[in-house]
Amino acid sequence: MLVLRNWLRRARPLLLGAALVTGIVACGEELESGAACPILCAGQNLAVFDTTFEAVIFDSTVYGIPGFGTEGSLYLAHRGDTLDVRGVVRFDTIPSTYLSGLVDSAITRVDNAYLALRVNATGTRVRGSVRIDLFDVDTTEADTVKAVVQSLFRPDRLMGGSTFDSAQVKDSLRVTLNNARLLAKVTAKQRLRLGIRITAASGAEIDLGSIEGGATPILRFDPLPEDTANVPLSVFPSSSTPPNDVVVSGDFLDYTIMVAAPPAPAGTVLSVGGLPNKRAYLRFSIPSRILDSSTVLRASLQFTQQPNRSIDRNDSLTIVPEISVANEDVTDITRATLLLAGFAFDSLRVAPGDSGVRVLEVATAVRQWAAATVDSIRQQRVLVLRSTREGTSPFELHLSSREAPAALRPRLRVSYALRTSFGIP
Amino acid sequence: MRARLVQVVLLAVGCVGFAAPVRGQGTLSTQGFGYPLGGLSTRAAATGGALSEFDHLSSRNPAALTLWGRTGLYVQYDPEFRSVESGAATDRTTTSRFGAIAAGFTVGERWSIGVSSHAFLDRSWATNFRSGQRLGDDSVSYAERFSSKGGINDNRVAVAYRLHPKVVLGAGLHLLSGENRLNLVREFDDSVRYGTLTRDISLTYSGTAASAGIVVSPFRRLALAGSYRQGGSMKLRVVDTLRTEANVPSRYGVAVRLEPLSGVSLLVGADRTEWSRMNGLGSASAAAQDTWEYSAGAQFAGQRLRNTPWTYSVGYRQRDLPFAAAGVPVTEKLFAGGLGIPIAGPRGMLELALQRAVREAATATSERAWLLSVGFIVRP
Repeated sequence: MLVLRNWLRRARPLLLGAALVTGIVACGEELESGAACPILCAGQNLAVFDTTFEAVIFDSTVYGIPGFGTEGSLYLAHRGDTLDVRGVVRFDTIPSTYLSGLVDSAITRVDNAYLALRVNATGTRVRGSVRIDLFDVDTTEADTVKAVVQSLFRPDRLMGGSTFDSAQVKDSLRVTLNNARLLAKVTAKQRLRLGIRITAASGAEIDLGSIEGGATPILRFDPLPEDTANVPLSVFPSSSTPPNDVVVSGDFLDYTIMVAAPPAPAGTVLSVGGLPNKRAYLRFSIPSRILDSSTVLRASLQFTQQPNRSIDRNDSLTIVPEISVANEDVTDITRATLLLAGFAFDSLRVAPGDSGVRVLEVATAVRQWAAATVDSIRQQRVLVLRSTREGTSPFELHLSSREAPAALRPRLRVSYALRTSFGIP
Repeated sequence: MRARLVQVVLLAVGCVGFAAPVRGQGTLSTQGFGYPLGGLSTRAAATGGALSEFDHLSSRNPAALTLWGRTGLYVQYDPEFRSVESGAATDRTTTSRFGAIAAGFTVGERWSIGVSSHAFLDRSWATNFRSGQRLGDDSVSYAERFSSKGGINDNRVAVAYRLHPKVVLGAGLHLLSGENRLNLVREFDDSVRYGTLTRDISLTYSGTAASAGIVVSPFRRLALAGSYRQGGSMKLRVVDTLRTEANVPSRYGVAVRLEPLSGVSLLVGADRTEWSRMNGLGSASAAAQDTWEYSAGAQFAGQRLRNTPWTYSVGYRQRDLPFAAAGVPVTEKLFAGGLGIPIAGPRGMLELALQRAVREAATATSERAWLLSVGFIVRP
């Protein structure tokens, strides 16, 4: 008994220490398990509801985006009578002198004049050869009016041109200018506004760089050809009209005009892409039981594509949905269509000539709308469908609008789980 | 603008992938509203629970409060080290619990008053697993983490009155309260089409009950005890909204203590809890069954330290758990042992208990656990 008592006395600190250590170790809670799932976890399956309904309460095709003069590139096209897109570049200030040594000298001669253009390969399609002609489209009339500018592409205003084989249409192009005509502009201190037109027997599309795209057209000429050491003059676009409006005149440094384009779709059809570019504006109404009281797992916008066989029916077009960040106070749908969140959460590649039901996943949008319901600023519940090649592709998607027959209307399919059905044993 | 709202529900097919609501997850013991701790103190746990009817630190019998003697404070920490085997897979988890906190004092020579809070149902678990679900026309895989923390506590105010040197009566009022903090994150493999499901929710519980008890010592070496708790209403709220209402489980229990030798106590007890009174608080799949608990144990007084004896305990307890696992009842057997160490004479006592729990059900899953209990009582 005495031995036991002595042992216990010695063991007491050990027992206390062991209890303390065990307690400290046990403080680090580790609850993760899962080996017995799903047998013992079957109840974790949530009630997920799946519903499809006509959620679009307003839709429209929106034109004018990108705005006139704000194109990311100068997309030129010639497809017979179906499509004719031309460009204009303004050189409203051309130097009339050049620096020779340390002395300014008047330009009296012009040689080797050309317009340097950058080519975007993505939107360029040339078969055989293509002719690029440059016209003097300067006028005292409103030269941003299509009819006016179109009338100036005529032989007596021809400033130059070059013919290129398809293999040459890559990276950059030099389109020759008539030296004498350019010299006349220089010496008269007139502005030079160049209209660019392409023609090709089998049709062609050339996507040229623009100011907005960071690949500006450049006018180059040599005022002193006998001096081989002299560097040719490079003239960058400049624009003086409309006066006193720097922003708009800046937009008009270069722009495209649509001389001929496929007719706009009629009837209960929305349009995306094409020339001129179009976006589809779709405003949604979603029940509060989904937006306010649920977690949206999946939301699919289902729409019916209508065949568009006007041009390149078998080629492909990628469209993306984006959220408009406009609030309810923005009543101009063009502005609401411009105010996009800036990221596309899904994409769909389609051939314009096909038809049938198409699906875009838009759960990101519905979740954002649900989150926005608690904000003081009421965000429009609008999806904008746009082409990834806006203004640089003739491909155009047609889809049935909400005014089409019931079977063809856009629908929203939502899989959602109610928040309140969660967690109760 | 065409503002006409036309929302024709073309297809409102609910419940794709629908199943029962949430039950306890991944273990046999934490199904339903959680694992029942039984309101045992460390020393009562060390006897397999057989001491609980005579124990002032347990929540069962208010008549036992007379054992407080002088003013005292008690805290108890109950970590559990659990191992769940399912087929070839094994999970090992550690659950931290503060099992009890109690205080008591005597008023005069006949009255004792005690307040206490004991863990009643512990619903702490977390699962990680992969599964799949049908959403619309598609079947999609996901990884899910689902966790619950918290539980329900039994808070009691009780008095005991020594009616006679051999008879003590007690009564208590219980306020049951607590919450479950649940978090669910379900990440679908196809994150482009399917948004991640993230949920946080708190379920709060409130309920009332009243209890009465008696301890009788007809002979010097024999004591009998019995107690009864009548459950009142019990409510479950989601955030602030009352969702369901049922009753606090009623219970009754009896125990016998025999002291054949000085310093040796033999104990047996039985306890019945009417868990089915909780039915309706959750879904039908979380229906509880009434349970019996049987316990037997022994306590031995050992060497004295500062005039206070060490105590050694062993015990065995067997019971059914109230909430079935996958529809199958779960039984629990506990082998217990422990000791009480008078670290500061009668003013400070450290209680230690270790229980080995074996939980089984007619499923492919079995569960073993070590339940450590550390109690500390101070009588300033």
